[in-house]
Amino acid sequence: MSRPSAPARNRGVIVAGAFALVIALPLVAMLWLSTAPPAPAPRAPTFVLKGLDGSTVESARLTGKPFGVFFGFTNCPVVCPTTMTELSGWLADLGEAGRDLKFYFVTLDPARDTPEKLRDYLENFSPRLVGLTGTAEEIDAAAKAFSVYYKKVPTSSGYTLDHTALIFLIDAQGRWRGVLDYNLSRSAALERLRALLAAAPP
Amino acid sequence: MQRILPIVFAAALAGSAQAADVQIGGLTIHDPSAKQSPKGADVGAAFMVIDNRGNADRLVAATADNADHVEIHEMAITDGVMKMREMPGGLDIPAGGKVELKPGSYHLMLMGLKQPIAAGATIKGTLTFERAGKVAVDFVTPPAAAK
Repeated sequence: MSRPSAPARNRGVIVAGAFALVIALPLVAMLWLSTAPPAPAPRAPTFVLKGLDGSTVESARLTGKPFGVFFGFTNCPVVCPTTMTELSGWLADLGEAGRDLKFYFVTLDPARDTPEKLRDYLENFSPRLVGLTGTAEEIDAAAKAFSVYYKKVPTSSGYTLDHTALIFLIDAQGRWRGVLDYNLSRSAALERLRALLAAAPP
Repeated sequence: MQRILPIVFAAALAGSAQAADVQIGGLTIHDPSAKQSPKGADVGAAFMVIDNRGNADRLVAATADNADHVEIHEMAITDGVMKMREMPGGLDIPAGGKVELKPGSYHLMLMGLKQPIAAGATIKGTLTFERAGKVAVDFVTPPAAAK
């Protein structure tokens, strides 16, 4: 057998070189990524809604203190009261450390959830839970901004709402800090809330 | 996946104040309970476990004396979204099967509450099954949650 011709040898070198690149590039990329500073948290969406006293509440004016937002309705039999009860417990657990932390309960059902009804409802929970309402359009805009899904579903006696059941976390500089999802364990929730409080003090 | 365990755990905790089991035909209703409802809410939820030693049956109606009426619902949370549907045809109880009405799943929805469901309260109600008929139950609300 004759030795491989020059073009064949060259092809071998090219293949080996390409192979090395394929292996090496991701490695280099991984190393670079692992040493690069973490990407800054993106800006959280904003809302303009109404407080239960009729005043305008703009999320852009809330910066300086971290907060959370939950979209729900008072005629929600399980998920909303469970979420609010758990959240109230976590806030109690945080104690003094969480004194600046507020959570906004935005009604997705302004037709039935009057400010009086929301006030009564939220009295059941931590005083750091604040009710927000607005016109259907204002609430819809806020829900869209947060990618909150909600949909009216008829029942034999009226209607209920399907809706996103996440608590959105926003830090003191108005940046996203993740969510608290339904049925999160107490320890995981407290960890996320402490991280939220620790994120870049104002 | 991670959502299942806490639900089971919560259900186990909620089971600390239990109502008496109720039997009708081949059906045994374990631990009928109602969730404490916040003041201001017009709706509540009730749960139980239905054990069927007999033929296939179906829960078709329910009443609770503190509610205008009661609907049978199913609920699920998928990708952070809670979805709830009325089951107008009722809830199938398969022969030899067991059906759990629990948070995050099937439940009775108490509509038009006449007053909030207080911790430790007992609510008188009825369940109607297609075959077994109607039976009285006491929905017991656990005492104030020890959180």
